[in-house]
Amino acid sequence: MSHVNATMSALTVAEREHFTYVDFQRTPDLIDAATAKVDFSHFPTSRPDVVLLSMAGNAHNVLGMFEHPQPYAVGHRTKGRVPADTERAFIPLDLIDAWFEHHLRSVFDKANQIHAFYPDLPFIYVSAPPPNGDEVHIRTYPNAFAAKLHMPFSPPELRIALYEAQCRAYQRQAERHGARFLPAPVAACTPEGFLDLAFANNDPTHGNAAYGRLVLDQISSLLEQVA
Amino acid sequence: MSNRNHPYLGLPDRQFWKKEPGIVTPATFDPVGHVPFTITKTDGVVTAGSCFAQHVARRLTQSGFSHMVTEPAHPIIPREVAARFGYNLFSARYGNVYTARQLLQLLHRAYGLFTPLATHWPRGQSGRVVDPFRPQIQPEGFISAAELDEDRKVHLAAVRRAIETMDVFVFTLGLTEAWIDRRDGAVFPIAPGISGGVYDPDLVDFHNFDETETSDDLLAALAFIRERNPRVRIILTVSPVPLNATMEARHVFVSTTWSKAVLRIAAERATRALKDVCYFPSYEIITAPHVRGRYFAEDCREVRDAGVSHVMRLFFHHFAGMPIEAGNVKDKQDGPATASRKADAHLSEMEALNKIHCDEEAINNG
Repeated sequence: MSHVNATMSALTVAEREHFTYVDFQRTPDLIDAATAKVDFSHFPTSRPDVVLLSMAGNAHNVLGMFEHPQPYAVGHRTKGRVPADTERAFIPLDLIDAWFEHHLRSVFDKANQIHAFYPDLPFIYVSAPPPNGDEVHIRTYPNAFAAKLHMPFSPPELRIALYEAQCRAYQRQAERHGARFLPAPVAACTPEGFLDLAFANNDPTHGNAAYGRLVLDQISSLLEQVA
Repeated sequence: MSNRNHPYLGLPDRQFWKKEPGIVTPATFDPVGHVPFTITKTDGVVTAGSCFAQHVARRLTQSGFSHMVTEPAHPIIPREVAARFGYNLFSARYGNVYTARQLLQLLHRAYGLFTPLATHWPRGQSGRVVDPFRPQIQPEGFISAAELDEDRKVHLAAVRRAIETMDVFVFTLGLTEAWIDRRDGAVFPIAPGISGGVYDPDLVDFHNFDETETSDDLLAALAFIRERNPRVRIILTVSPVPLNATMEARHVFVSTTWSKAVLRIAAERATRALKDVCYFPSYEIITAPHVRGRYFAEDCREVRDAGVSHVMRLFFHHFAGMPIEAGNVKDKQDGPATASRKADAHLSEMEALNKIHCDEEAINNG
């Protein structure tokens, strides 16, 4: 279940009437391959009240679900580095932040186009769920990552640090447009910051419908605050 | 007709001003002369010094020479990002090492012989800090002193690796003016307050190193290196880039000529005092009247690409025996930081798997 699908699947029939979903993955020709321009003819003709963006979101898993062949630690404000193992290569945290900005530039370019298309609307960037820290769960439902299961998983603190860096990237993108960033619901997270298995889909990275419900509740209360 | 005998008779043409072909054809200007050793493409070359040394580093890589980088960015980091964070500009991430005293102290810090009292400078109000000894190495500094401490350990270990394993050391002397911590004599590359830190006249002194101090520091630094790497060959150059600013109460260009003279003297003394130390006249190539000032950009300070090309043509010709034309490698924007760096294989595989993963999920939910 994709990050958006987790949310969409939680919608009640009544709620569903209020949502229009533009799927960047499955809409042919939504993005011009040559120019990377979004074809807005695929967007609803009626003007929405708010735009929710949930674009990509697995970059932290790409970077850190499995241990890199050249293991690394990243900078940490109080600990200096996480993990503490000094045998690992060291990457200052700003460099990790820069990696996300670089990696997500095409995603953010599309988002920028949507902002330009709806210049006066409120936008909310919906965070991807935190990493699934349960190795048994991932091994049970590896999906396409089965090919990598021979590799060790990255240390938990590193996976959390990378997820937090991803959240900062989306937060910065939101702030560039005066938009709101909606973090993952606290109720769906373990004390360590991982996705609670009760909210995990049967795959290595996504939330389930229960997770989607929590996100919808967050969105509702945020819209009430804004209204 | 004269049959006078005098000591200049029979000397090579290069020792006579009028015989220099560069007077007529600037591109042929060649003041290099004899070099005491050669460099091959398998020799590990370490670079350090002022900003002009970055050109040398870049051209070495582009020409197929082995510019050693002992502090590379992790392979996941894209090359353009790495360059913004000061990776691969020099062999380690020390940034510009402007003065001979700075070089000497860098070596002492790397080997635990000097631990400056200044460990970090604040940057803004956010708790961020910069390294007083490379304050511009990261665009926005480090997130905390703890993170900087970690990075510094990595950095100084990389300096040690470079010193101990290099075959050739190219050091470009850049400045004589510096700022010194009054408490322990630590030399900063730029004054506190410019790129982090707070300028406090009670804590720092301006100092303009003279020829004796610079010579002594340079000789001490090179001797220190030789103790740890007896076989290293050393090339000294003086940056042709004029001072950006001077603290001396005089015109910046007058300070420039004084500084360059001091640096030139120090380099000369080192070549005379130590074996396998060579002075390479990049300063002269760029600033000589023969080239009519055309190697300086409109600001009369930055060195144009053509000037760097001239320097490096002669460098490769004299040190590596390459034909003059063969050393004429065009500078490239991507530089050494970026030379032929392939996308990280692990990341590429993970991205491909993630795409399949998300595509499959999309299909499943269709």
